[in-house]
Amino acid sequence: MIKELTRVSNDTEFREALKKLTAEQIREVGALFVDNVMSLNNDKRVTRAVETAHDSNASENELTEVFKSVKKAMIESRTRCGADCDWDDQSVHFVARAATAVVAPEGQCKAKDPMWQVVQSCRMARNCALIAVDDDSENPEAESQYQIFNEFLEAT
Amino acid sequence: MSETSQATLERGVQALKEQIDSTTAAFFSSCTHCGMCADACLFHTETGCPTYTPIHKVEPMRRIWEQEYTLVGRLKKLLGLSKKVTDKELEKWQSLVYNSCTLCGRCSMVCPVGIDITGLIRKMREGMVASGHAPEGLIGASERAVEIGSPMGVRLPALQAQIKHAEQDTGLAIPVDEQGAEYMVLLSSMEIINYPEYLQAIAKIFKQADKRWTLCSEAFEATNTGIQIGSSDIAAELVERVVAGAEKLGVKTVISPECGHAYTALRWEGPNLVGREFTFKVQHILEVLDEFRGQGLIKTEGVEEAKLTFHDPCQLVRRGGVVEQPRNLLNMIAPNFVEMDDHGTMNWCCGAGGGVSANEEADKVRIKAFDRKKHQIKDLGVDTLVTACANCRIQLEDGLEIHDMDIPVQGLTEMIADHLLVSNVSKNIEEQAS
Repeated sequence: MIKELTRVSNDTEFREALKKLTAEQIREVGALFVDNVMSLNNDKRVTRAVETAHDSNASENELTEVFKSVKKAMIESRTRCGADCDWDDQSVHFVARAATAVVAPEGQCKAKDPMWQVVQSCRMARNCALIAVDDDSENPEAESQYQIFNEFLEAT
Repeated sequence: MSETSQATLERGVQALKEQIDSTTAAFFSSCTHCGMCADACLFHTETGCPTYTPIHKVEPMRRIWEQEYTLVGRLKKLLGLSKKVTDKELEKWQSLVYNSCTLCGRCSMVCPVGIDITGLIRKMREGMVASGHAPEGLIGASERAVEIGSPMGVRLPALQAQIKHAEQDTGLAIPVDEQGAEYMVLLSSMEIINYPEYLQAIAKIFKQADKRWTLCSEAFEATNTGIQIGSSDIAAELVERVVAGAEKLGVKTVISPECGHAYTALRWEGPNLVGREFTFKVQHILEVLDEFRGQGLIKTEGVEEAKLTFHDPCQLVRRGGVVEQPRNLLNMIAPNFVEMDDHGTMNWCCGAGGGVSANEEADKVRIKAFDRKKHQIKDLGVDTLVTACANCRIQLEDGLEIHDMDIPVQGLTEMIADHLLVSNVSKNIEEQAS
């Protein structure tokens, strides 16, 4: 089925293509998207969740365990109400949110489309990093994701 | 912020005296000490601590009223028989007035003689600020709100970056400073920082409803820390900014976001704070969405399969009467919706409103207070929790995580946007693109 997919160059094509992936492929490509923003991460729980997502032999128990752990990291890294926002810290939060969506069991991700949650959270992580340094240039994450996805298709 | 940096006991006592009017006097003189407010307060019910009895939280102000404005009190004062309010006492009271009260209003609902106890605690906070006994977290948030325009330090470039993100995701333009738009949408910093999906949901919904809306670059923040900390001056200044923005753009309606106290601050306290009627209407986003639903302007498809319940934000139901609107909206998409006990106007607070979540000193009691909500949720056995206040959402997520309850929490506006009839939205996006 994956061979039927064509290269993507915009979000409409991207969304459609992602819908055609199997559950295993979603986890694999989702982990690749998070890899691309891992330079923003400083939490070992997130790293471990992404490593587990990459492991095609990971058991359900392992996935559940890393989900609980990375969800905790996601909640702990949010900017608390009324606090002075540190956008670098907030980018860490969105990396954790992306990783949580990658390993979330069915029904545990609050987003209607968990894969799109991964995509969006990675873009938000990059966005926050740009805000942190007052850089108003275009967020390059979407283009990076198209490239990662296209390479994934070619390699599969 | 001059108000907090010049705080003294003298100023605090004076501020409390200024809060005492005929209504306050009537409240203090009619309290029968029945204790019913204690059983209505989750800080009391969940800790069993009698000092958390709501009316007790305003005891220093009651003594000032008695000593200054009653015959018996004045005589006792003359004879040296009354106990003066001291700085040490107000310092001690800080945790009662801020840490263990969310201004949720439940105590006011049950008082058999009709005392607005929450209103008294709100007044008590004016004295606490003036005497220098407000929590650091709220002082910092208030300073940022006045200086930057956001309690969480969100500046316009950060909002603009989030707008770009939302535009890319939705394919829709996010209007800013659009003169003559019907609706001006406010955001809370929490939504800009933690829940960017809210803005995307607004863009999709208003596109489908075919309504003109805008953000205001000079007044995008809804949160009003002046109300939380208890400073009418700060609260008025923050409301003035919204009023100025709305009047400049000539909008008909200003929409308060999924933030409970922002709605109370602007809609119910706003005109009194600035001393004049607004030239525009103020509505909570759920009121607007329900109007759109009633007018057939938003169409949904598909349903939530999960068994879910709705947590009523206190400021919406008790202060604002927004009870039916969320249920009407959920009826469109949630066949497995179930109610908590004590839902609607007698809903139990999440435990984090009224500035409690911004106050690190309150963390322990805030999480303890969540026990009530935890039991309510456990009893229902739901798979998903929905609410309409970003602050409630944070507390619900925190509480569920601490108690190892894997239940996702979602904002109702986002949930509605997730179910918009795709063909309608797509058609509108194509029209906009062409």
